[in-house]
Amino acid sequence: MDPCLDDVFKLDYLNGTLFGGDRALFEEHLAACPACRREIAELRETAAAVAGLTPPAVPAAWTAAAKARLRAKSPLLVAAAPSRPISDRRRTNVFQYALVTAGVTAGLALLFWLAMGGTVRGLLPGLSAAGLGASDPSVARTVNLVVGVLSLHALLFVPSIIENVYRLVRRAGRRGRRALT
Amino acid sequence: MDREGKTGPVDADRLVEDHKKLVYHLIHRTVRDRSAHEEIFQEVFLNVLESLPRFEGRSKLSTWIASIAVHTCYKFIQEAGRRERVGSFGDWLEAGPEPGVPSDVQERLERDDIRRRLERRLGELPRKYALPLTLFYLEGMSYQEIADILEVPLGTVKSHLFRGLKELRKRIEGGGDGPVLG
Repeated sequence: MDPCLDDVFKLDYLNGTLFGGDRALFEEHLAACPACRREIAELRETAAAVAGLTPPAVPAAWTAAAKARLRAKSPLLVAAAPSRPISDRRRTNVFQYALVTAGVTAGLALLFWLAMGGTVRGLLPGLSAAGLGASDPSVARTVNLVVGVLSLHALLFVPSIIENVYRLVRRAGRRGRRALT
Repeated sequence: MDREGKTGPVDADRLVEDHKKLVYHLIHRTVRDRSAHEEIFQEVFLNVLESLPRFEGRSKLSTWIASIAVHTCYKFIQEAGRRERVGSFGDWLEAGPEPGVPSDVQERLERDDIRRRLERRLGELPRKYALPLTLFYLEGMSYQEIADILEVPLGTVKSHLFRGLKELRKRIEGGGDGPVLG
């Protein structure tokens, strides 16, 4: 008969954490060793009995007292206040996504316009080298480039500007409602 | 603080709700004097709160809280000097529960059913066996998590789990408890 294997092998086998060649080796030994088979069976029964124990229930008063003491202990603590309704959060998210999408689309459209040979003068006649009174061709090119880049930036900031205006309006509305109650 | 260990404003209610069973279970398994359980329960959560800024998220929050719970139990018994001389944390884990409790009434109730008898035998084991058994089979923690909580090598956890099962089996069979198992 093979010499009996290490206790750690037995524990890992018992707990399902023995794999591969080690497991095969152990099972081969088990097949030939009635003492180890009996020991594993007994330990499996004991482990199952322990796993079947029900953890003690925590008295409700202790839980409440612990929460109260934690809240009193630190200014960092916040009680579990009801959070914003999910529907509200979803609405805000949808609004933000829509704004970002609109900004990105507008930016891409402008880039496409410029790439296809379009000019800032064609898009925004007032904001062009001619409109700004630049007659020298090199100065006009520079002005057109600067105006183009600034316009692109402005378009990308549009969603953020709209969102901030929207927040200011909402905040003002909340203040107004609070003042009335 | 969330389950992943990210710091932020602490939700006291959630902290207690999410971990109360684990904490109470460890106190129940570690300190036999039931009259002290409530005080230790509160103390554990206060210690968790105080230590929270030092939590680095290297382990799961539950593992870290379990470690604080075990150390709070140790410190409580050490400071109270309750019925046993308490040495180092390691010595304390080696020892069995403090004698004298639970009360006669509790003992009588425990004799009344098989589950409670098994519970009692488990509660009589040295902590070095009872805690790994509890954390592994009842709390579903891994060997490594238990090693972190009890501050012992992984091999020691496995060895104590195995010997704990053997010792528990021996006590049940030799304790005149009748058919607790099988």
